[in-house]
Amino acid sequence: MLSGTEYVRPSTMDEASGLLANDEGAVVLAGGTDVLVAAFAGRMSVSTLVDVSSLPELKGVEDWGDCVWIGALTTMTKLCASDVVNRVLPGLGSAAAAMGCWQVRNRATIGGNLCNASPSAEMGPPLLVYEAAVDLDGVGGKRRLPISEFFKGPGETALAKGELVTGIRIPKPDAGLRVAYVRRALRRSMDIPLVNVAVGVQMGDGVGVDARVALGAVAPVPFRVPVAEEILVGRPLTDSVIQEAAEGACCPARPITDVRATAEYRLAMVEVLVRRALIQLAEESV
Amino acid sequence: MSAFTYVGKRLPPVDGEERASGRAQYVTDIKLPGMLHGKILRSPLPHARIASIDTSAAEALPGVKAVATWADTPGVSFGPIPAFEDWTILAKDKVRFVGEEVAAVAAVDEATALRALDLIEVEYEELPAVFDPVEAMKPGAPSINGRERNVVMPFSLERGDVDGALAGADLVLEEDYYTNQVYQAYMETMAGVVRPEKHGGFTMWLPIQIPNKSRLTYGKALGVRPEDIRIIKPFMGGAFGAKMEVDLHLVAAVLARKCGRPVRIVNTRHEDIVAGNPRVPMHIHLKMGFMRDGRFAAKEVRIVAANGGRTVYSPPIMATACYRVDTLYTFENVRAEGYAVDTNTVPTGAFRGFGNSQMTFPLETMIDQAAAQLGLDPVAIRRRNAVPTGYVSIHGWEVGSSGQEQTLDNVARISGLASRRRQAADTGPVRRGVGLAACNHVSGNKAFFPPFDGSSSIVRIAEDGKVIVFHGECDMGQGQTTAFSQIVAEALGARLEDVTVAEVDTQVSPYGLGSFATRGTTIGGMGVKKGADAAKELLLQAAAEHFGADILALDTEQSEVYLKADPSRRVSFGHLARGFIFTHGGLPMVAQGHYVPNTVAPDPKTKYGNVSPAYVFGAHVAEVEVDTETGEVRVTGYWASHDVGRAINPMQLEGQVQGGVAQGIGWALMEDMITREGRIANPTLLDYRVPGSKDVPRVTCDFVEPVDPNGPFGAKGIGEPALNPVPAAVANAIYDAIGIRFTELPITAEKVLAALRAREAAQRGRGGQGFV
Ligand SMILES: Cc1cc2nc3c(=O)[nH]c(=O)nc-3n(C[C@H](O)[C@H](O)[C@H](O)COP(=O)(O)OP(=O)(O)OC[C@H]3O[C@@H](n4cnc5c(N)ncnc54)[C@H](O)[C@@H]3O)c2cc1C
Repeated sequence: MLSGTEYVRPSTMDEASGLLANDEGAVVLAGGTDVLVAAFAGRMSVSTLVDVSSLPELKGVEDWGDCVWIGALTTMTKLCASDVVNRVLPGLGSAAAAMGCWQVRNRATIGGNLCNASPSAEMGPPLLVYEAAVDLDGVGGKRRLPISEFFKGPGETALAKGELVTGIRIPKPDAGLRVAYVRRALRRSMDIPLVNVAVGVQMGDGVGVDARVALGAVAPVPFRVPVAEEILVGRPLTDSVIQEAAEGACCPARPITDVRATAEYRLAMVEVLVRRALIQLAEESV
Repeated sequence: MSAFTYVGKRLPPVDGEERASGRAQYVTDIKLPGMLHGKILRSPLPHARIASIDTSAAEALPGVKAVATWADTPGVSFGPIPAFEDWTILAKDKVRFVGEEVAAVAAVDEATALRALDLIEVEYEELPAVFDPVEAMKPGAPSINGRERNVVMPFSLERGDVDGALAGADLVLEEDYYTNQVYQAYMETMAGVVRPEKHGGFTMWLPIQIPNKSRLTYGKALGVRPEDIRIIKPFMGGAFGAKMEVDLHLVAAVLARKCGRPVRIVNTRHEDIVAGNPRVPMHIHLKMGFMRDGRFAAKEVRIVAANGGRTVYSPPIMATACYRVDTLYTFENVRAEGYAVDTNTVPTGAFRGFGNSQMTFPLETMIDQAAAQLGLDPVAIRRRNAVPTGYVSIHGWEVGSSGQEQTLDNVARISGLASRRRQAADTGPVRRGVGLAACNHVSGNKAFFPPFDGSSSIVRIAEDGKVIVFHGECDMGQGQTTAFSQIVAEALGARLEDVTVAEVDTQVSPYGLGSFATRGTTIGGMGVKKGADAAKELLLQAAAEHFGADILALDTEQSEVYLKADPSRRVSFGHLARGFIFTHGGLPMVAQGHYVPNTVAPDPKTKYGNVSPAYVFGAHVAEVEVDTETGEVRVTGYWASHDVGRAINPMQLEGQVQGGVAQGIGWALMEDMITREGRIANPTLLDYRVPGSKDVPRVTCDFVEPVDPNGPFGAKGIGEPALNPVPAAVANAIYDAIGIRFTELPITAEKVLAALRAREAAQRGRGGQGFV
């Protein structure tokens, strides 16, 4: 199955990016929960697996004062257990906890989740809501991209040849920003979402001063929904405002029909999930 | 009977450690010297003529040792049921479903075999195809196997005065139901290792439920005598009915014969889903008459079932669906009409319930509906029609023991049914409801293998006093080995740890019928018990000589014979066996026993007979929460009471019930082989959803033990009844929660939401008059 595939474990960034730049079929191996599954199923042909687990630049979760830096190799299990994540970025922690199952969360990395670029990627909506940036490094040097510019399509990212994601940089949100993450899947565990939603709202003087709504699995990439956000700003979080925002969120959604659900059902779920996320926040802020 | 030593005890599986530690050897673990790896080229089309096959490029690939097509097979038609022989090992000139075996390669490894498959050139001429059995019966539908209207087997039966009873009924209900196609999703995919033997025969290591019956079919297919095929069944990773006759075993044999080396073929999960042996989908039309007091006046059913492209077991499964439930209640007027119909879809076969589970869904939902309309309690309406001990059904089935009323009472009690019902008035998006459903089943099926019914065993006492039991049944993972160990240890008075149950090897094991129809513990158990009884006689005789005492003065316990009058005087089995063996030139100390049940094959015309030595009953209660905004149904509580005759091992019974409930919840709510133009659209476990641990609630079990006259220590079966009532219990709970009846499986979130919205729209449109 993987006979003929080379395996290398570079110990420096330069070595890693060199390998990736010069070998057309070289693929980064992080937790392997996407890449190995695809390779074994024959959906992906791999000449060289470049195991990045020895690169120190990709590791750690750090509190840098004004922002939190999360190494690309950080697993879901580590995200769930991280103090700073739970304190400052609880929406990211709930998304990490919702992914797959224990075994998958023990292997799955945040970098792998982003680079795999599934429309339903668990990390997509919360990172959009937290307005994260992605740190990249490669043969062309270091650069940083807002998360909203990183996803290009299903399985496609802004990564250049020979480039790696080293980490995610998340500005610390205002203490008043509350974030909720909700998803709908066909089973209660070990299932990818039909729709996933992250919502952030900050209230001031009884009205929304900041609102962020992000959707996953209903378009080629996860995205923010300004229409819904505008509805929430400057108004109280009442049932009718919530309903208006939930309905508004459906406008830009363009879900597909597949064997798991119809587009109509996914669209109906956008409304329900956005509403439920907002209700959760409204209840929390009382 | 007073205290048992092993029967009725919560004992862990005797082979549990072996399985959990990975030491257990499955077919896929077997590696023989010189073994090659086989792969099958399968049809990409649902219905097509094969114009030509060119294998030359595949044969030329280095590492390829044999390429086989129909020309390499004996070319005979055969099949699991002699009346419907529409199989060939590899397709002759036509393919009838996506996945049908067209050619095969044996090579030094799987990768080479796979590469060789790509090099085989097959030219197809596509034929018009038909996928639904109702469509397939219509005039002008494409003919799949040359049968009139594509009907493989019609079935009809009538007893009593159905029309008169319906005319006199206080309430008549009539409805169309559909039970969908689902996959058994066992852990071990289908597999086989086949070694050619010098006399033209074969040794086959197979995960298989019915080794002896399969030898008959395989002998015909391969042009050898059944005795020239030796089947060994090692540890097995589940089957649920799917692993009866499997064409892959024969493909391996054809390749092995051609290259003269052992060949191993293991299905990928994808192959196993597209060309396995899934549940028979059925369109079921049910009409029932009810009296005001709850009595069932009459039942009329019409079933159209999909056979798939060739016949596995859909005809008897359809027939079972037509009338097995007639012994669930005291029906007096019944009529059934059924058709098993060729379709260009994956061939369908046995899956836990064998048609009875399909029929239980409409029957038990309709009874629920009748109870609601007649203002009767769901337990009371079923009790009103319950089958008592000693009952002989209208079809002649003799119910030697029935704990049916007690299962109904018990499940109502342990679930707190009365206080849980009708909580539909809750506010908020989540509605809660409970549903009850009952079931029956057999513990054996005389109709399945007409030549004989029964079971037997050989029990050997080794020179160290250890006991080895040979039988021809098949443990597919359900715990038969443990149950047999307990039965033998109890009957023989041996220590459980001294008893070994041998794996089935047709060269040494007795001719057993194998695992089907929930017969293992009951019929198979009687066979090993009879062998143990006979072995006890041998030991008592030897001990009588040893003590100079009368046989009647002796008994056994803990692998020793003792004097009843003075239990301190004892002699071990080992001592007696050594004495016997060493004074008889090494003659094995062996006893045999057999059991012939009182079953009667159904009359081909009237269907009158008595298919099983014992009949079982059960009742389930499901509690659900329906999210009315997402349509999601969550099963939040589950209670099951089963009449098991006698619990040989309550822990293993619970395991069977939990597994049956989990599988039933999957069928009820999410599992579906979505077929589009004959292609399965979700052939992976990523898209074919079986429930995960969080989708299955804790299952509270209860066992009723009326002690059946025909089972070992009174035991009856559990495997299939554990699943039969689940979809109906869940559907009835959904009705209780939201007031909508679903007639099609699975009841997906999307269907629930659509039904809720349709009702809302109708209520708005028609001034509150719901149409559901
Ligand atoms: C059983 C199962 C359940 C799952 N459930 C979910 C779920 O519920 N939700 C969900 O979102 N996902 C799910 N997944 C998918 C997968 O686990 C996640 O996407 C995971 O985060 C991928 O991380 P990884 O470290 O395993 O990535 P890998 O498989 O190692 O890599 C994924 C891709 O990213 C690339 N890559 C990895 N790291 C880097 C890097 N630092 N720089 C550049 N490229 C990189 C790889 O080359 C590859 O293309 C599931 C997978 C399985 C097998």
